[in-house]
Amino acid sequence: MIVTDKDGNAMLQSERELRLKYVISISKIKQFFDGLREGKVYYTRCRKCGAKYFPPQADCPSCGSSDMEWLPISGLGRLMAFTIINVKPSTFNGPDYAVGVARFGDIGVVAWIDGEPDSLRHSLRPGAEVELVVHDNKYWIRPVNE
Amino acid sequence: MRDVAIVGVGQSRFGKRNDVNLQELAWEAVREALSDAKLSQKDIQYSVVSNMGLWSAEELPAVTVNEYCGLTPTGSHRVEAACASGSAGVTSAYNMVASGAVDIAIAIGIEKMNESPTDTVVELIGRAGYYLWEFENFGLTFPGYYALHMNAYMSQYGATEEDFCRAAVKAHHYGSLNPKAQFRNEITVEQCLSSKYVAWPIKLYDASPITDGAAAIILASGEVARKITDTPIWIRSIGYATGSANLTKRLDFTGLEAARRAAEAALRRVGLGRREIWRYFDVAEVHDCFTIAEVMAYEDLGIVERGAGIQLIRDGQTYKGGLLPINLDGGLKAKGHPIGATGVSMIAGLTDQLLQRVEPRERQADIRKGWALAHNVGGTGHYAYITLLSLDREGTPA
Repeated sequence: MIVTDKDGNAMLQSERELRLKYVISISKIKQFFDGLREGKVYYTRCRKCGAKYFPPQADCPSCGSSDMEWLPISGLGRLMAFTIINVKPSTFNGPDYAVGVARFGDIGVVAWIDGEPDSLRHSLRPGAEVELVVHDNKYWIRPVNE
Repeated sequence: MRDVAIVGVGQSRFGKRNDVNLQELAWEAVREALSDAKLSQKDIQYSVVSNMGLWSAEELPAVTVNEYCGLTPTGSHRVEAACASGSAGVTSAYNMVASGAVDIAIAIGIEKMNESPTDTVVELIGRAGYYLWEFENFGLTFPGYYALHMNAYMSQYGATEEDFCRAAVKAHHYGSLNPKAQFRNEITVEQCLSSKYVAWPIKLYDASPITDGAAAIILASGEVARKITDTPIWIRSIGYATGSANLTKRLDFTGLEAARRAAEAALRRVGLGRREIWRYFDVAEVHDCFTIAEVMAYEDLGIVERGAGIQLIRDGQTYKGGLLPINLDGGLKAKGHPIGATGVSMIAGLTDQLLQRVEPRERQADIRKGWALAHNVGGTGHYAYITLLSLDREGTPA
């Protein structure tokens, strides 16, 4: 179909619509997804050299081992930065959401922040104490009210 | 490795280019570069095409562009390094010539982002992080990635949204003077401050636009370059590095580690350290996909110390006549950011600067030292390339 923009430029609108929906293997890290159902957020630690991975990895590039143990992230962390997504991707239409990055010891986590974005904008600062919570098979960063 | 010089450059007009297709747009830049070098297609022995694609229909842009531009059957490949694809392509072409594989190569950067609707482009750029861990569940957008850095920077150094808007005002000022820029209008701090948030604290006017554009540079080995032109511009150093795909692996959100590493590598090769580098360069291009990115670039390059970048913006020290003029073409923010073309465009623009042929003269830097620097970042510090250009084939910056 030939379409014309407001400046009069003619363009051929392709008739072929391509829909993409990927399948990504999680076979080697399935414990992570099982953990979410138990309310836990797992990272992996190499049994041979002790290197820690989050997101969890099935293989340790540091020493070459694939012997990993699964441990839950626990305790309090610190928020490093956050943002509120106002202009959302087409597959995320709905209300604005806040995304943050926090560190729990030497483990970093990116997740949505549990809370109302407009109020977080005024109340939350980098450096704030946070915890990880799990619901609906998803993990969230939640500010700890002092 | 052999010395390599730029012997011709070309750029298309940037913007929403519904008047041309991908190949026609590339030809605007290629034709200009060939004409600048006074060469024909048969002189070109290798063609590297930088293109991110996804939003545009052609899946093999290197071959469609080469055919349209009369470069077939020259050997070719397509390069992707996200928003640093252009510099990565120049690196690839540089290596073809430096290694002795060929004497003359062309690096073409091309992007036609407006072949897809805006929301599709926003979605596709948002996926340019770690898809599985950051996009699938959390819908981080590209402005969102940089917004995390702006939030951390503001909190750490007391910078304000108004400070960052001054970078946007500067970009638009030089864009208004650049006939090839997408945005040719001046803006005020107030206009910027009142623009809508796209990813708080980043506003629409903190962000570079969706752009169609092309750029091309022709590279030649030292001896061949001397025969082609009396004024070769020497690629003296290219530094490169990558950063983690996952933001979770990063310890600091007030700068980009990959850019610092790339800068150190590039500067070391010409005998410099990563401090007070404004002393050694006449002009620079930095990757200002967002205003925060420009400020972090000042610090990652070692123009000033950590935390002092915002003061350069407040004091207007990166306008012409300041400490180091930066982005006198309007930068990504106002000239536009056609992903694969950006790095090539930076190097093409700096070549024009060193040759003192930029019009109008208001955006021509004073060339006294004969050195220029291009800082091109891919993703959010996922890739970084720093390219150093000089009028001199030998010697270190003084």
